[in-house]
Amino acid sequence: MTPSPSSATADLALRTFARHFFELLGAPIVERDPDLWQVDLTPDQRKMLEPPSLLPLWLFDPSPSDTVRWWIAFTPEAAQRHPEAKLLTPHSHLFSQMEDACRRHGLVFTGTVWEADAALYRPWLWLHVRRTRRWELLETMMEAWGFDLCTGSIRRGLPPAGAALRPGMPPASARIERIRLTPDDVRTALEEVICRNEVSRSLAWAEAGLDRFYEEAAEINAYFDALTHAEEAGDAASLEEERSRRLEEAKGRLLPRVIVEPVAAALLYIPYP
Amino acid sequence: MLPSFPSPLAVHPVPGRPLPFALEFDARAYEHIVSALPSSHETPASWHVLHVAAQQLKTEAASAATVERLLIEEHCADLWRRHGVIPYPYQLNVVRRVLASMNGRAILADEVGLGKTIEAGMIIKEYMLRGLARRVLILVPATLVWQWFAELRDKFGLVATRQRTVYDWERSDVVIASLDTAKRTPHRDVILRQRYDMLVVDEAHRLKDRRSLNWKFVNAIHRHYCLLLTATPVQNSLDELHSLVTLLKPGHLGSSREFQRIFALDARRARDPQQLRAVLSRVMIRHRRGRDTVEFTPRHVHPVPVELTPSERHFYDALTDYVRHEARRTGAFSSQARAIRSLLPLIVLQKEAVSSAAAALLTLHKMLQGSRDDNEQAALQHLLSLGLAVQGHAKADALLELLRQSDEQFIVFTEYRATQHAIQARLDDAGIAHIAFHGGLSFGRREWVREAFRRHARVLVSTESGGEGINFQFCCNVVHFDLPWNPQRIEQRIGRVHRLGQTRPVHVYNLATRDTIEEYILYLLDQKLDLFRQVVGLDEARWTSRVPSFEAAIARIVLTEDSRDAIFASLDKLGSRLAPKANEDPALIDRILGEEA
Repeated sequence: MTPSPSSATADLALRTFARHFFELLGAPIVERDPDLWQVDLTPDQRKMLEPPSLLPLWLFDPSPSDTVRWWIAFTPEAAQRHPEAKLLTPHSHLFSQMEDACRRHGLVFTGTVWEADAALYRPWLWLHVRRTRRWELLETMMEAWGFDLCTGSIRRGLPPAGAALRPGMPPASARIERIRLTPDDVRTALEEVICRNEVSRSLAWAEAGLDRFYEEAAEINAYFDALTHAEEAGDAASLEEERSRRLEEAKGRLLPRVIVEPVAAALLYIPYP
Repeated sequence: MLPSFPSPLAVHPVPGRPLPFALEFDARAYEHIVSALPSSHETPASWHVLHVAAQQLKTEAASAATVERLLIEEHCADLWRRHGVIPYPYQLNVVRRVLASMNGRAILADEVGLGKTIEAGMIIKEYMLRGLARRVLILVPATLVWQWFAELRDKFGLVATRQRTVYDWERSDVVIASLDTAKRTPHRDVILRQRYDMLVVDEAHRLKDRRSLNWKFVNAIHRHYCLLLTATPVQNSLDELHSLVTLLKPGHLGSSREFQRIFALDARRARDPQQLRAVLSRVMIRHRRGRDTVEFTPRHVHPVPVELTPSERHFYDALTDYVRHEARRTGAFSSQARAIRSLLPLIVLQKEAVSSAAAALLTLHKMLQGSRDDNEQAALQHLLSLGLAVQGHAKADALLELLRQSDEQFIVFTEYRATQHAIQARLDDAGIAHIAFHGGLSFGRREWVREAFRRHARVLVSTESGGEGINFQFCCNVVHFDLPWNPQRIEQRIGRVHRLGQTRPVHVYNLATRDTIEEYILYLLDQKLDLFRQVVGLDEARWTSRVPSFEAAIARIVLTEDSRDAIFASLDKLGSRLAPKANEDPALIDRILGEEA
């Protein structure tokens, strides 16, 4: 089957991520064939991917003292070519391990956009959030929002990058503007801007979810009404209690929701003229 | 409705208009991130950039997940390969149906042997990967708790908590527990306070009676999604079906009276099977063995009677006398189950002796080292001398004879490492290429052994009956050099070769020494219960409800009956207890729905 252009792009993004990951780890990659890589990991590098402290005692596998060789396959076919190959896809176990390692070391970042003559820096908080629409199914997307922590202005898009961005605070000689927003303010602003954003789009998904909920609620109500009239089961109070519990469960299952999950943050000091 | 925010930044999206959705903000993740910020001054940008890239990749992949494209297929691919799990298309379709059209509530009613546990594990994992479920409660018969734990761990990478104390209910996101424990106080009260995303009940036919404590308890558990697993959704009456469906979707079949009026002709017949089938298809999935699911090649069972050599017989008889003497001395004949169990190690000696003298000698030696009693030491010394004097190995001779009659590959299973070595020595002498397999091998080494056997050896001598994860479909001959006590292990052994992917008929050879405990076990398992020919696996819960300890039951017979005829008569009775009862009709549901095979 010929992969679609979008899947080819995703595949390229995954390989680029894997290459950068192992380079950052300091583990050399040998491409055995286009879909099968060989990576040699020292015990310390392996611990970055498989921290023993996260394993339950009964699953603890003492790490070997020598360098181990991993085979990484990007397709199920390549995984079949080597009996010990680990499949790397965004839903694979290996990817979860790499993701955990990245989270441990890069969940948050503090940096400064350096400018030689800048005398004043303004702090911005950049939040990367996962936004999920949940009804019977899920629809997920990633987005980044920047918050000016002094004025409260909001900017959608990726944070500044490039050579000028350096880790740490601005130079001691420069002045930093006072932060006026609390974390709660930022959260509130984020919730509002996302709600506004949702409302400006089609809400058909949410209305479909509500319809399903009303349909099921009607079925539940009809059942309990019939029971109450027939006095088939138990006393009226316990029936009512069960009815509301069942309706509550149906809400949890079907009511449309937008779930906002912050996944990374960067506190950036940006020169202010 | 969007709450009003105290912040000066608040701008209402559409003033006065309620939103058709609720907004859920992951405050825990946000607080974690915000609290980590002050310590991030030294973090290099590259890790942060990679972290964001990883989240981007994960999110894009999740958004590409559809009902057709399940996340488990990629996520569990390595685990499944390592553990030899073949995700059958019909099982993946179950996940798709539960996800797409059942909204996470289903009765999984496949026939025994089609992998309901695997299907449930797939659904649990898929829901967790999609972020639809986090807290899962799995209620099973007590005897299946460990099996569920191991299946979820090995095949889905889910480390669940096996409930032992009242504190365990809240300690873990995924809890496996016995239904009988869960429904009792104080556990019941704790469970009913929880909010579960998913509830799974195995052997759910125990919920067929709406007036039972089981049903009322499960009905009261707060959950969003629910899976009920049973191969027999109806055992006696159609009303049982109504009870199960009402647990999942109250009102789906109406009230009990409405159900009787609309759907039932009488207790065991549907008014309109087609109509009932259509309504049930929205909450129940049932597969039967056949072309669309799993179709096994034929299995042929060959008993191979073996006559012990004179010195082996002498050794075995002396051991038997010793075991009987110990049984009398310790009061095991009093029929106390505990006393019988205390003798099991001694009966194992008999089993070892019919496997190989070497296996029994090792145990005798250990017993002698641990003994403080002079009389016992003398008896053990005597047995040791008899064991050392054994000449020949009748079973090994029988095995070599079997191998000479064919040029195909064989897997030989034994319970004991000493016997494994003895067999290997005889194969060496006979110039037959062989390789050993045992439970101490790492996963990588197991794969290596498998490949070495496939390419170069004729015989694999294995002590690992489960051989979890390693499958040998390229071989079609299994030899039980000795028989395991646990009947389930017989199926595990044969299951290494007799599974999907096997293209040839499978031959099972049972080596059993005449007039020994082995002959009795074989009689019970083969002739009375027909275990070697069944490809559906055991209904372990049903077994254990009738005979709590299979080993103790056999031991009691062997130790308390004097004559060979009396032993066989008692084994007949035990077999009758274990065989399915006439009113347990696993196919009643198929008859009701008009889907008879």
